[in-house]
Amino acid sequence: MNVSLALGPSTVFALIVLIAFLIFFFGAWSRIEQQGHRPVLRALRPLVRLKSLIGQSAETGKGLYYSPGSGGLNDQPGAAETLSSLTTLSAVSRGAARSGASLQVSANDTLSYLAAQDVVQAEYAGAGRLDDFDPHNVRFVTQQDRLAYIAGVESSLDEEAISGSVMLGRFDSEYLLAGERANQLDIPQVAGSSRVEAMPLMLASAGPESTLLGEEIYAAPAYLSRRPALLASVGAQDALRMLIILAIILGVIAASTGLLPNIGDYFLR
Amino acid sequence: MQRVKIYLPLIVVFVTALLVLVDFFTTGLVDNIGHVLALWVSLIAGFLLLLGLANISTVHFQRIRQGHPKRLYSLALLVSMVVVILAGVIGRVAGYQDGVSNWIFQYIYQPLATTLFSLLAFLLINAALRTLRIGTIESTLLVIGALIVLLGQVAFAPFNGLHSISQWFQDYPVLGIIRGILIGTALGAIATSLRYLLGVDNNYMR
Repeated sequence: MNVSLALGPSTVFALIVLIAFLIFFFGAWSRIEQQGHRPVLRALRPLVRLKSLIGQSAETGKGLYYSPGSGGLNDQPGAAETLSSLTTLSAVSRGAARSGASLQVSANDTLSYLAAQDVVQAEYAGAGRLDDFDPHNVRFVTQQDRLAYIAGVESSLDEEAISGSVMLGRFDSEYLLAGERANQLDIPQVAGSSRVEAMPLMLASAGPESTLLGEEIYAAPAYLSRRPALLASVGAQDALRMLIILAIILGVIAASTGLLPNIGDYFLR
Repeated sequence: MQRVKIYLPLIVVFVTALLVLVDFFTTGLVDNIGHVLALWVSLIAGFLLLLGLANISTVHFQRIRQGHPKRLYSLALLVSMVVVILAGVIGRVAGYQDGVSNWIFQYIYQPLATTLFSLLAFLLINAALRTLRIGTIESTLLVIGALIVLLGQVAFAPFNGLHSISQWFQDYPVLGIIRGILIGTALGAIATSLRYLLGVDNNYMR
């Protein structure tokens, strides 16, 4: 058997990023656990609003609607966004279970539907309120059909007693259909996506105070739960970003001076 | 038993991730294992679809039984679901292959989806006007930028001068910002994936 390393420009870059992230991540995690050195996080206003939506739901007795995006766990480009949204859902359901708010969740594929159901059930069980968990409040709407899913979200906003809507995850331009329906019904909303197709529409529909942009949706779980591992992950992302900025600056200098003319291959492929 | 329930999924996730990474970074050791595992996921997702169908059926049957004001829509959904499933099965058995399902898709579903999508244009104008009324600096800049880029694409003589401004917008500030967002997003995706693979984010099985 002839085994060899498949190291081309793109794999070398991926390997460096992977190893660097693991080093930064475990370094930051051990600093938080051993020395209690928690990173200072800048305020994210949409997440403050999200917490207030949970409180409003508990006060009014109306449900809080949560959508983990119109992507899915079996949809490769959007799987990470959906995973991050499910971690955020975990923190939101914990808040809902503790405050007595009711939560309604919908999903656009079976894997995220089952994962969402497990996440919400686990948080209600953790808060000692398993009796209040209704499995029918987590709904499978469609199987990876973005438009039909958004039509289902619109219909739920229209028909159910909803006090607030949270749409975090992979959305494209179809988000606007649900976002504008929420506006017409005067339902306060928090939205977020890392897709450039959805971000301007979210800013226009939900407003800058209620929109999580790009990487902010990946940081949301750390902000809401404050768990050391999640905070360490945000710290590692920042350290890696600084490393990449440095690599880009050095790369531009190396390519411009002719020192390493093919350095761009390591970044572009 | 409780420990097995917690650790077994973690071990499966970790080993699977390790195999995919080894497949990506080596040749000749576990070639194509990533592809095979992706096929397995599709297969499992196919079976899980039955659970999804059960959930949809239960929710809408309940609405009909409880006399929900919109119960007719629930009935329409259930009837459509049964018709599409039967069309697929009977079409296959009768030798039409996917002809019947494709007909439903092409002549019923597709026009409905296109109609729904076309509403976006009107909703976008509505959202833009509301944004302008709010009048914050960011939202006003967003709408003005969108208008310049949009009018720059129009083949109408009075707007020809905007074409170069629109192109400059797209080539420099927009492209730079998009690349910045993409780097941040990619880092976020890497962090999230690795947290799940290392078993740090295990809220789905507590």
